[in-house]
Order: sequence, then C-alpha cells, then structure tokens
Amino acid sequence: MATIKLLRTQNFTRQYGGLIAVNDVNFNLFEGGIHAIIGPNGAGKTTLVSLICGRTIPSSGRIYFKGKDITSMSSAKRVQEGIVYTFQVTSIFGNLSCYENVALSVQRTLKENLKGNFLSRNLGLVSENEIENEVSKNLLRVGLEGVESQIASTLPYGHQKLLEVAMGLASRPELLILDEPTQGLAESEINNLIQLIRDISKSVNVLLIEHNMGVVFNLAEHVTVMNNGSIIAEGTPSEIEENSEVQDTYLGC
Amino acid sequence: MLNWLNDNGPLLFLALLDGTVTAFVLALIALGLSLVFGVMRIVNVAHGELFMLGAVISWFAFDFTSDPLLGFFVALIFAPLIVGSISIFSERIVLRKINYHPESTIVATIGLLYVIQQLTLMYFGPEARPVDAPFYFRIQFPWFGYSGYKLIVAGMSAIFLLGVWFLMKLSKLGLYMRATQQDIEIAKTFGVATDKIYASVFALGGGLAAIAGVLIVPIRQADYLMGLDPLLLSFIVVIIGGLGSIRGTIVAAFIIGISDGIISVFYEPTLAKMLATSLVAMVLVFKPTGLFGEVQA
Amino acid sequence: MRKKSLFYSLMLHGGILIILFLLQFILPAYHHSSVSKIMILASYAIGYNFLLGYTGLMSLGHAMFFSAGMYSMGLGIYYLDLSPMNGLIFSFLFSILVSMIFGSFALRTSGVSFLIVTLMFGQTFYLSILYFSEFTFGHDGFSLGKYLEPLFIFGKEYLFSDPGIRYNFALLLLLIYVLITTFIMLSPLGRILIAIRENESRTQLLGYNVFYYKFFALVVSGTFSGVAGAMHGLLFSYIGTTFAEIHHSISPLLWTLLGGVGTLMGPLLGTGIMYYLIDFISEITKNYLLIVGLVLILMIIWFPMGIMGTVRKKWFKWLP
Repeated sequence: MATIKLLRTQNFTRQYGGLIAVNDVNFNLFEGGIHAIIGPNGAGKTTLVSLICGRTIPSSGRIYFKGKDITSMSSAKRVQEGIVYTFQVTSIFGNLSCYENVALSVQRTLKENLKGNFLSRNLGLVSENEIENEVSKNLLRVGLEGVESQIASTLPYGHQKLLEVAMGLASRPELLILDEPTQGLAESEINNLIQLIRDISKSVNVLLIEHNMGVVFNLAEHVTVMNNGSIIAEGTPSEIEENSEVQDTYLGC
Repeated sequence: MLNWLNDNGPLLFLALLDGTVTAFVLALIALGLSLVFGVMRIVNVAHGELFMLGAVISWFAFDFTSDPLLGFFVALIFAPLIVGSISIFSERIVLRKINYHPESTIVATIGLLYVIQQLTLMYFGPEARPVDAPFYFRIQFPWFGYSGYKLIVAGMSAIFLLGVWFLMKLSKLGLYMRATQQDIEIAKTFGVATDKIYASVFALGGGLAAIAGVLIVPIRQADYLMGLDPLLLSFIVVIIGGLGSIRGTIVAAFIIGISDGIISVFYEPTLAKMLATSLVAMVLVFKPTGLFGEVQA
Repeated sequence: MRKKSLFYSLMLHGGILIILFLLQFILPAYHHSSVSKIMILASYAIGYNFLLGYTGLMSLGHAMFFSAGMYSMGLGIYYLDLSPMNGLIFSFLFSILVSMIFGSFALRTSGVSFLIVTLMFGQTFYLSILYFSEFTFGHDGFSLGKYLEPLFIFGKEYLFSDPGIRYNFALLLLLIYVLITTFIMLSPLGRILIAIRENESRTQLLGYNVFYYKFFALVVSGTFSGVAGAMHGLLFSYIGTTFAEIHHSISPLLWTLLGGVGTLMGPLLGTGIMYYLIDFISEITKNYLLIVGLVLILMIIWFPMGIMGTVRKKWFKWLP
C-alpha cells in the first residue's frame, strides 16, 4: 500500500465555548483506498471533517493537504484543491432540476480547465454541450441516468443521496469525504452504495464517516476511531476489532 | 480653547441639555424596537409610526378634554393601550401569517408603515397640530431660561426605562421573555406560551413608542410624518448598542442623542444625520454585534 | 429542455417587446407618455430584480443607484457641458463605481443586516445630496431642458422631450436590459447566481467564491438602476431628490414583488399595474400610499411569488 500522506492535521483543536469538540488531533490520511472514521455520537467526527473541508475554523492547529498548508484557505478554495465534502443530511438544491444540480459542480471544474482568456474564465463561459456531456456521465456513474429534468427534491431519499455523490464526483475530487452515506437507506440501497464507493475508490481517495460497522469493515482499508474529541485507535479493520479500548468504548455498547 | 468656551459655552450647555432630553426619549423608543428584535428576531419598520400614533392620540386627548394636564394623563394611559392593541392586532393578522420570516417581516412592516401613516393623514390631516404642555415653568440658568417641561420629559422617560428594566429582571413575564430570547425551542418545552410572549413583546414595544410620542408632543407638535426620523434614529441606536441588548441600547441612545444635539446646534441637522447613518452602516459591516453588544454564541 | 425554454422565452419576450413597439402608434397621448415612464421604471425594477430575484439579496437602498446615475448625468451635463450621450456614458461609469464601492462594504453582511446597511447607505446618499445643496440644488432639484443638445437622427433634429424619442429610448433601454438579463440567466453564470439564492453555503462548498458572484450581481443591478435613473433624467429632464428618498427604494421592491420575484417580465408587469393603479386611485384620493401599503402586506402574506411567479408554478414551468 502506498504510504504518501495526502492529508495531515497537526494539533487540531476546536472549542465551542467550554466544550472541546476536537481535542489536539493529529490525523493522517494516506494516498489510496478508503479510510474510515468511526466513533460514538458526539465523538467529534463531524466536527473533524468540518474542519478538514473548511466549514469550521480550528481554534488552534494546522492542516496540510498534499504537503501544502491549507489552514487559512476558504472552503471554496479547498474544493478547488480537491477536497470535496458530501453532506450527511443531503444538501442538494431542492428547487432545481437534477441536471442543474450536477451542472453546478461540472461547470466549475470545466471552467478551471479552460485555457481561454481572463474574462471567459472568470465569467464561467463554458459551452453548454460540454456541461451536458459531463452531467450525464456523472449521473450514469452513480446509476441515476434519465433523471435530468426532474426537480431534485422530488427524488426518493436514496436517490437524493446518490445525486449528492454525483455532485461530489463531478467536482473531480482528489479526496471525497462521504459523511454517513448509508444513513436512512434501505438494505438493498446500502449494498448498491457499497459497490459504488468501492468503484469510486479505484480512482479517488475516499474518507468515510460511518455508523454502520458492517459497511466500514466491508470497505475500509484503514480505520480511525474517535472518542471525546480524540483519536483513540488507528489501524486496519482487523486490528481495530481486536483493540480492547475500542471494544470498551464503542463496540461493546 | 478658553475663548471658544467663553463664546460658545452657553450654546454648548444648551446643546447638552437638549441632547440629554432627546437621549431619554430616544432610549424609550429604541428600547421598544430592541425588545422586539431581541425576543422575536424581527425588525419592525413601522415602529416610528407607533410613536407618531402616540403623539396623535395625545392631541386628540388634549382636544377632547381641552385641559392640558388632564389630557396629558388621559393620553399617557390610553395611548399605550390603543397602540398596544393595534400592535397585537397587526401581529396576529400579519406577522404570524408570514411566520416571522425576517425579510418578509421587513416588507410587511413597510406596508404597515404606509397604512398607519396614510390612515392618520386621512383622519388627522396633513397639518402639524400643537399640544399645550401639562406643566409650564422655566428654569433660569445664568445665560438663558430652559423649559421645565423638557426636564420632566427626561425624568418620566427615566422612570419608564427603569420600569421596563424591572419588568425584564423581576417579573415572570420578563423571565419568559428572556427565556424566549435565549432559545425559543427550550422555552417551548418548558411550557412557555411563546406566541403569547411574542404578542406581549410586540405590544410592549409599541406601547413604549406611544409613551414617547405622548411625552414629546408638547415640545414638537403632532404630524403624520413625524415617525420617520425617530425610526431612523432608533435603528441607529439599536444597531450601535448591539441588537437586542438593553444596556447597549440605553448607552447608545445617550451617545447618539447628545452628539446629535451638539452637531445639530453647531453644524447642521442634515450633517448630523448623515454622519449617523454612515456610522451605522459601518458598524454593521465591521462590527455586527454593535459597539456595546454582548457576543452571542 | 433548455433549448425549449430558450425558444419559448424568446417568443414571449420578443412578442411583448414587439407589442410595446406597436403600441406607440395607437396609444393616445396620455397613455403614450405613461407607458414611456413605465418602461423606464420597469428597467429600474429589472435591475433591482437582478439582485433580489436571481441572487436572493434584498436591498432597501436602490434609490441610491438610481439617483447616482441621474445626478451624475445631470450634473455632468450642467457643470461639464457634456453632450447627452457623454452624460449617459459618464453616469454609466459612475454607477459602476458607486456599485463597486457600495458592494465591497455591504456584501460583508447578509440577511437583515444587509437590508439595514443598504437602507443606511441609501439614506446617507440622500442626505448628502441635501447637504451639498449648493452643488446639487438640494430639495428643489433642477431642470435639464435648456442644457440638452438636440439629437440628430437621419439628419433630422429631435428634442429629448419629443414623445416619440421618449417612448423609443425607453423601449430601447428595456430591450437591452431584457437581452442582457436573459443572456446571463441562461448562461452557466446565471446558474451559479441562482444556486447562491437557493443555498449560499452549499454553493460555497461546490468550490465557488460566493462573494465574487454576489459582487458581480450587485454591480450589474446597481449599474442597471443607475443608467435607468440617468435615462429618466434625460427623457423627463428633471433631476430631484425625490428619486433618492427611501420611498424610491421601496418602489422597485413593490413592483418586483407584485409582478413576481425572479421572473423576467414580472418587474414590467408589476410596474405597469402599480403605475396605473396609483394613477387611478390618485384621481379619487391623495392617499395612494395607503394602497401601496396594503398591496405590500397582501402580497407578502398570500402571493410571495408574485403574479408571474404564481403563473410559472401553476402552468408554465419554462417561464424565465
């Protein structure tokens, strides 16, 4: 397995008033494959990923992506760098069509690849045909072909989650953060999603925040366990299963 | 400097006195706006019109009783009651319907502003009408005499301000109001009837504006357009004082009232307003919690 | 699907504009001049709607842009002896400048704070016109009539106060605004603006610098409003403070709400209805503002989407 550090946090801390949500975390994410973060509710997982994608600002500590210090980068800038987050509670544009939803992701990546002049790059003048191509490619990849003209909020919940993943993929991420992707899904949908995530991980690094242990042990090559805002264990799934501290705080209950 | 003081000292003193009186009345109006914002998280653009209604009701009371003192007390009782009822009425039929959505509320209260203003114009007329002061005496300073009624206005405003402060700190209603302000969901689970609290706060805010209108009318006549300036000034006060903070509102009322007095006397009222409006914009842009606001979690 | 909606909207808007063009030959003089005025004011409302309807930012200070355009044009002609056309260009540049300065401050806030900041900036601008009345002629305003050079079109001389000139210049302005708005809103850029209106933080997390796009929308909106103000000053040759008052900031909000927020023809429809409604009522009573107030309240409670918005939702999904 490759051991290049893709993402590294250094003494990451986030306090809310007196409450310490993330406490002095040194988190390492290596290139390649699927990395999962698990832990009980309130362990600080969601805060940690919020810090990683820049929605929350750390109280102290630094973060490096591909060796570059990105601590002071805005969340938008981090997306452009390749850190893409998909929401736990789906956060699609409910009033817009599925096409528009994915197109929003697509046109940004197309825009950045534009070699045109300053004006056309900055106003985002991308040809609509190219966008259409990319949109259908991404919808096809998550198995949502043919929903283009449907209004996003009218999709069934499981499909909204897939749309969210399609939007994430269309952003051409280097690191795709999936926050609780299986939450609220039926068993058959979960199996589909596992296939999809495994497929995605062949070309994209995936950071998975997940409650469902079956999914985690099925997918992840590397697992980080959090509790009370700190990392209490790291290792391969089998190492984690044998770790007694983890069993006490988490798996036991 | 000394020479300047010798020449302008009396003028400065007058400006300070006038500014202080303005500040007390302004604090009363702005406190109403601030309470409504603090508890309900909405901006009532029609607030100035409630002040105007207080002044107009005061004129009717004076006209009806044709006795300044009796009319004054009648107005002081009835103006807040009537305006409070109008507030509750509009809260019920308008604000509740749009679910207190912040931006819709602004649009709706702009509508209310026009409706109240124009109805007053229809039934009261376009002219400014004077009301005699209930008490008339002059306090003689070495340089000029000063209206004793103005000082009484300041004193009575102070009493009402204290009254609101006690209401907030000591009464059950105040407790409920503060609870609703902190967290409406938690307040609900503790059995606070938040819709009643909303109505009371809106009525209280309107009542305070109406009282200010009653107090001010012997000094500056009643007319249907008099609500706009106090509205802008109390916006300014509430924002500089920190949205929703009582103490900040009162401190800011003094700063704005007194500096408005001084700039208006020595320069021009237009300049004073210009500086104030741009100051507010800058405060909101660069220090949204207000100059004296408490940091909100 | 996009092509279809593009086609329909071209038909609809082209049709409306052609009807407006033809109307000038049959309208009696009184309505002829009313419609000219409506088209100018509707252009202002289209500018306003660009910010409110397509980017989701509600402003209470657009009278500042309108009067900035109007005054820069008028004062430029008065003091600098500019020709009318150069006056327009001058006001165009000045409006861009005002919008950019204003945007770089006001866009640091959002929601209710943004509303109040726009209100306060608008009020500051109004007060400064009054304060510098030696330069701006304060409350009285001034008439441009005798400073305007006549126009030469195909060798014939026209005055700006000529009804035909008024009507067709107003129509031209409206046409340009409709074209620019359609072009932007059907482009990928328009999609981003709508995304910001729908969910600003999500748009940020798709990798867009939201501030940048809001700034763009504000500058377009402010410049539209400013040039509409300059046109109004030019065609009706009066420059005055009434166009800088708060009331004149609320008007485009009212027209847009009535006609339909975020629709292209809503502002035109809303402006037309309100203009004639007020025109009609002021024959009966002077208190037409009462109606303005009632319409505002009723719209916000029952028809927050406005006429065109409701039509779009119920029947014509393709309506831009």
